[in-house]
Amino acid sequence: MISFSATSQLAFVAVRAAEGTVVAALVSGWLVASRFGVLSITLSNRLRVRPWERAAAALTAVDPSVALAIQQPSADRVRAVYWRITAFLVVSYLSGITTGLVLGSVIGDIRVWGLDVVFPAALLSIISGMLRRRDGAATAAVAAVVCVVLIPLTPGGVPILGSLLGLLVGLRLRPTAIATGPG
Amino acid sequence: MSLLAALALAAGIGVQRLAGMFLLGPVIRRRPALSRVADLIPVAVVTAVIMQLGFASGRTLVLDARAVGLAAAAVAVWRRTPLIVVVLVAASSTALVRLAS
Repeated sequence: MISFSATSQLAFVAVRAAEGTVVAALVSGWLVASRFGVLSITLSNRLRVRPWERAAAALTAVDPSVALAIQQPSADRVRAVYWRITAFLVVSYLSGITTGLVLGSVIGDIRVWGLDVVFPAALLSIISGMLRRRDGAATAAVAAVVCVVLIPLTPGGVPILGSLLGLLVGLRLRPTAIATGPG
Repeated sequence: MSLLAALALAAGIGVQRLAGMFLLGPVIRRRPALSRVADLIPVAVVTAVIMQLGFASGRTLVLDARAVGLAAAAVAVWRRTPLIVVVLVAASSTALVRLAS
């Protein structure tokens, strides 16, 4: 809740459940969250506002809000879109917990409705703009392979950090558009 | 999770977030060549999160109905359909595969 990083809490609980030490659980929680530090770097480049608002943005940055905000053409738009998405996410997060508590037993397993692919599918749609760029597509391809290779070999969080290796390939290519898809 | 551990977890994450915003971000901004790094970082990280959510269960790689849903989502994205359609296509195809199996 306070860290706005559900995956970190999951990682922490998972390590503790596997009888890992508190320290190991903390480290894996932090590793999983390191992507938020990285997202803050990206946001810092495009968000031109006062320090307190930058701090608030850093503490609330998550993948969808940052990805959508940095695609905006002007600084004003970046700011407006960032806070609109963040507000939407906070409301969904809180109402999601409430709905889960109330309806949990009624709906049953969310997997029956395919709801477990909603988040990854939405993320895919959100980065689609970058995937149509030569460097973005190459970065994503290498990131995907590295991540899949590391998942069975390393503790939680490491595969996500390892995906940054994709940049080594992506940065060698030009940021030109690839002609893909109709329209 | 004990209260102390929860606070330590949150504090560590907060420090990383603020360091990204106030320390590393400005360094990158002073060197425009590095801004492309900042463009590509979320692509790599988001891709990894997609792989983790779509093809893993804990530390085990799994190929199940989620893969079908994500493949359908990829086609929808390629066809430039709006986000809400991508999500509906993914969820319904995953649900259908589970229903059939």
